[in-house]
Amino acid sequence: MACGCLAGLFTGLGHAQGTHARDAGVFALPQRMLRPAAETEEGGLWSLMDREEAKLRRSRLVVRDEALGAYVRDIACRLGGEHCSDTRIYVVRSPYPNALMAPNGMMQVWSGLLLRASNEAQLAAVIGHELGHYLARHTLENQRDLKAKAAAATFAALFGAIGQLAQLGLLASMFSFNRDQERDADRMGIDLMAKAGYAPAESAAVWRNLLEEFKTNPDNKEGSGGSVLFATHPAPAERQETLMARAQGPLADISKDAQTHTQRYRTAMKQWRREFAKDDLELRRFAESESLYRRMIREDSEDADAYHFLAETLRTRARDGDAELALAQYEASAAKGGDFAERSRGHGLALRGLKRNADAVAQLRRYRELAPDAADAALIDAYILEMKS
Amino acid sequence: MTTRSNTASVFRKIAALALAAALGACTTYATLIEPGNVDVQGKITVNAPQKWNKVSASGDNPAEVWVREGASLDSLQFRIGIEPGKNLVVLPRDASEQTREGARARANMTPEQLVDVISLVARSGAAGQFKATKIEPMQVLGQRGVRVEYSLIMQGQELEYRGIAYGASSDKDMSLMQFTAAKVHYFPTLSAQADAVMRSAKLKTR
Repeated sequence: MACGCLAGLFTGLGHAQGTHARDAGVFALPQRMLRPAAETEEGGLWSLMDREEAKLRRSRLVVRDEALGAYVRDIACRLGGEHCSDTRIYVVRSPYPNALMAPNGMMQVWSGLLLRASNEAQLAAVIGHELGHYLARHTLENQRDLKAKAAAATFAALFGAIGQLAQLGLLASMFSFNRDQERDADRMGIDLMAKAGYAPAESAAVWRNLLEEFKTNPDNKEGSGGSVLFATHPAPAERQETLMARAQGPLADISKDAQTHTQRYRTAMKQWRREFAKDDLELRRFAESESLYRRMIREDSEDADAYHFLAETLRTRARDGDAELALAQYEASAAKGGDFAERSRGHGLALRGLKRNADAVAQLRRYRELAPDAADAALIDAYILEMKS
Repeated sequence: MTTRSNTASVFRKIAALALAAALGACTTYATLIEPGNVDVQGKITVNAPQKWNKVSASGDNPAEVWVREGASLDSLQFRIGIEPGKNLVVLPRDASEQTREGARARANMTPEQLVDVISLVARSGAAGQFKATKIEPMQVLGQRGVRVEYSLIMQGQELEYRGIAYGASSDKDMSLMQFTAAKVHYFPTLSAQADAVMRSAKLKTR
């Protein structure tokens, strides 16, 4: 679960004109920002980001789905109020749980984050945090620091090139924010979401869930290079506790009728969830994926997709005993109404591996019915023929 | 203030890293492959009607790499007779043990498992959008195998790629032959030639 900028995402507040996040009160949105003059330091930074945004707009990794884009943008608008018209949000196809925001109002929300959020409130927590960075002009604050000057180009690279895994980790670690900025952004994000009617405790749940996933892989060690996300300060556990304390303290009064909007979130993600899960599987981070999908099942035991995702993870891992474990999850998915092509395919292949040929043929035939033009049609047809004979 | 040259420098470093990852190791020089029957890794012969450049790779890269126009534009890679447990691709240093496990050769792989490996090798273990557009069962080097056509978009690269791969696995080892090229111009121009080279592969008699 390498992640650049939930670390970068959780950066902080500098010169916002609203109520400062370090103050005790609830954060209030500042006035809209005017575009800085081109000849100023900030204007140069905006121009750089404008060029990167133009590249991003052309990228094949941007998800071009108007409905999904509008859904995510609406969340940002609920949080950001009149700043909404100054921000542009791009959903980027990348399996890492991440979001990034540039000083010119360009925000990226990565598909790995959309897969992992349990509800709209959790996504709002992350978007709120990113908006906090923008409103606080943290990038400018950091650019004025000598150390961060060298990192500004890195910032551009993160947005423009996105970066392969190793590069992403390297670049994101270079682009770090100080402890106070991180805390301030956490606080701004949770305040914005609470004021917008989202359950603020979900902000802490984001960290709790990521930590749970992260700890399942022995390769990951907190504070080490396993993940940039968890190598930053404050420590994730501390942030989780701080956010929960704020949710139950200063924000308790304004969030009595707060919502998570779980069903609305699932509806919005329905068309993309299986695609995002396929991307996640390609990372071959089986321990993290297994943890993620077991959490999904815990959260909703009727979620046929989640059983299927877990089954695919186990079948692909293919260690001793995984075929049987995968089969049980395919069966659970089917029992929960999961009658879709990918489930039938995986189910059939798992059965074939266990030499239950008659059952395998039935599942693979169902797959061919549901996906008559599948890329692997010739292979599956050959399997069916082979098992029948 | 950040300058354009700073940004360009970062992008150049990224491009260099991506190229090194794609080739799996440090490339040093290329030798010309003349048309005709060519020995590959001492294990197979292929017929190459056109000239290719063989890239010399060092380190742990188990692949023999041929290119026509340049490694970032097209590459024909051979991994022949790789024994179980051996690395198929050189991964980034911080790749997890799980990723490394997936990048090791295995015996007795099913065709669908071969497709997973072809995807991982095409992406050098990194994140990217690999999509198999056609998968066919096929005898490859006398073994049960698969032919795959695919598209690929790598994170950190502007180009979209297309590819053709052949994979096979026996109870002793596995083999991959894989051609990947930029979707625009290079794949349409070179794919038929590369496919013919891969189709001509024959195990050398010992």
